[in-house]
Amino acid sequence: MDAPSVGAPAIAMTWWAVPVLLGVVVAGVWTTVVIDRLAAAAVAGDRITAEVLTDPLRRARRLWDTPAVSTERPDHMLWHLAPALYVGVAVLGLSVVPLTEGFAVADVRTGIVVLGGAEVLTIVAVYLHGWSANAPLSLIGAYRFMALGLSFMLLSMFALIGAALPAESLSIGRIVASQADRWHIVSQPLGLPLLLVAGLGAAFWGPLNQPDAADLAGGTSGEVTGPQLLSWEIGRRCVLVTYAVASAAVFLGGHHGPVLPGWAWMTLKSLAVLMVLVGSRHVIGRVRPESMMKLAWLVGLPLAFLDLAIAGVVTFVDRGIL
Amino acid sequence: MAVNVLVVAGGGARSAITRLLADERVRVIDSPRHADVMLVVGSVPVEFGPALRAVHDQLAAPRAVRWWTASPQQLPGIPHAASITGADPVPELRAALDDEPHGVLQPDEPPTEWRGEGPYGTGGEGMMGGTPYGRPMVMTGDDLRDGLALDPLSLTVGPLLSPLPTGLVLDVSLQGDVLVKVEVRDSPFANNPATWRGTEPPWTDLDSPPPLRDGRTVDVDISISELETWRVRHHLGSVARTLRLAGLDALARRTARMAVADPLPAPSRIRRLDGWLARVGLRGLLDGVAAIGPDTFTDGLIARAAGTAVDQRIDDPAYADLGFHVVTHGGGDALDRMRQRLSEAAQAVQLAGRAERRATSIDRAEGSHGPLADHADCGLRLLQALPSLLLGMEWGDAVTTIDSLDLDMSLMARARRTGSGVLN
Repeated sequence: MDAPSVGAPAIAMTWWAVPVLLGVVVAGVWTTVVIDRLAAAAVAGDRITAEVLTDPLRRARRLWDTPAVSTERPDHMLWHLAPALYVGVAVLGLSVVPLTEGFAVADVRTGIVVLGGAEVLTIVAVYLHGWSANAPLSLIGAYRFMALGLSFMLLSMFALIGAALPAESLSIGRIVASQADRWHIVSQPLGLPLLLVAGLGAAFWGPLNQPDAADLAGGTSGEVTGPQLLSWEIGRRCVLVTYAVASAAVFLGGHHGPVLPGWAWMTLKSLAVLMVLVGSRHVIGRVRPESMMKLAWLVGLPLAFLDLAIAGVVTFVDRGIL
Repeated sequence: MAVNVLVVAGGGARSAITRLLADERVRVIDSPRHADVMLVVGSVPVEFGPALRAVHDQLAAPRAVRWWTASPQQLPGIPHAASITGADPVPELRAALDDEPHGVLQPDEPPTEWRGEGPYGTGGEGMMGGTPYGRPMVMTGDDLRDGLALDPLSLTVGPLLSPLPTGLVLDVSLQGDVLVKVEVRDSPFANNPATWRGTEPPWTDLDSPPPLRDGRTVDVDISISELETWRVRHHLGSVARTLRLAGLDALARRTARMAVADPLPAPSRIRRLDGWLARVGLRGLLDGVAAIGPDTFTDGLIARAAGTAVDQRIDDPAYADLGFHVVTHGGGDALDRMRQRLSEAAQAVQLAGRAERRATSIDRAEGSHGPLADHADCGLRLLQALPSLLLGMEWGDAVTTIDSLDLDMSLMARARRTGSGVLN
């Protein structure tokens, strides 16, 4: 089916985009793991060998073979549901993002809303993961994520709506189309950093890794091992991939770019964003919850409003109203 | 594949952890369930047995335990723990990945006897507390911060909770994640170190100050070069541990490498690290946490981080020769203490380089926390101040605070036992 255009039906679905999407997720998670190891090696001064590609597979294999452990009276069903939900919402969010021109699983008219909804559902997933173990430190991790999630996801909402203004549509395909002449990172420079911070928050990665922090001895995943731990870690990386691809589409012009085909540009842009997201973990330490709240509400939110105002002014200027 | 290691630090183990942090074949983790192997390092009191067994049962299959010590005996509590006696534990740690699976060592029972207890025979007292089915019941209690009487949960934390120092045992009461009651319990290291099992791993212990390493007496002088080298390695090792707490594992490895490097790293490298960590790297975690004013501690590094210019080396003519000047920072919070450690490390590199054959005596030497001769007392005063420091803090800030005090429970116990502070 075709990409949505003016007057088009509510959803444009390309069914065979589903296996492509899953392929993108798998490749994206793998790339995230490799970038993580390379960044760690670069910062620590390790020698970089070919083992950086094989080690993650060995560790994954070992986790897969490790028998599960249990705490006292955990909530087994929710404990196993949590990683599945986490991966599920990440893939759901990615399904509304066009992977190249006119190619998305479901480029719905309200793509931004689906993305935001998926983002918020991560709160449920992470909370359940921490709560189900019936252990005190895991539970503290779960509650930390509720505070973290609420604070940072609000910022991403404003950033995304700002990007939707020039397109006059919430569909991500239309937002990409509206960047044909100028990318949103140029017209709304605050938007991308805000979305990236929200991405770090939703995947609780790097400076925002409070739920699974070292001071909680692993936090929500501290009582977990084996395939469950593997799926949880994969889930976090899926979320990073979703944000990388969504950022590329919404702020970096998506498939637009000279010479190379659309999918190549999307890949390059997503890769660049992924490198920034993943690499941040090795240079910026965890922010304590109180400082994080101050940053989010006293700095982040005003910046988000400013971003929205800038988006509005730029749109008006473009339309000749101002 | 890097081996995930849960480290239990016994006597003489500080430098072991620094070396492990510096090694890319090993990943030091905090949760027993993520560990491939539990590595006990150094000498261990028998009193650690129950705690070791409890953590052993939480390990992921195959529940491999290794004991890195110079003279192997049976590890208290865990009969199947094999010993590692060489200088490089990693090959044997890797071999531990293929251990035969071990079963749990403790019966799966709640901590308190409950059968037949209480008015209903279940251990509880109806709605009003007790220990139903052997677990403490959460009750309402006064709240410190906003008056909302939530559910205080009483826990005993330690002695093997990573990333707290090994051997630290706290009785805490948590409301949510806020500490509303904190008491320091006797550490398992409290008994006579002569009775501890095993000995230090086999290399020059980087983290013990020189007098504790050799069997020296009060009258013999300490080489300034040795003392300042020890200071560099000690402080860089502390910062490496803080970096791991902050999730910066790669930077921790880099810093730990600087700590074990021979020759010592250049002061400019240390200052560059300090600049990044103070501005960005550790700012989010440490800034504003646990501000200890100059009246609370009047000695040593913590006082210097609070702005007080107090240092044994000020009055020492040998140091005056070397152009020593006191470094201080204002504020006294955890970030200032980290910066103080890095600044003193950078300065110590220069002092060690210029020292040549100069020497000082033990009663004039400055240790890592205060006067070297008072090492044990400094540590004990910190422990005594812990409850008032931690009360009302969130869990994360409490762990950060404890980490910023740089406690070594086993070293304090040994120093205390040998009488006047530090001597053997």
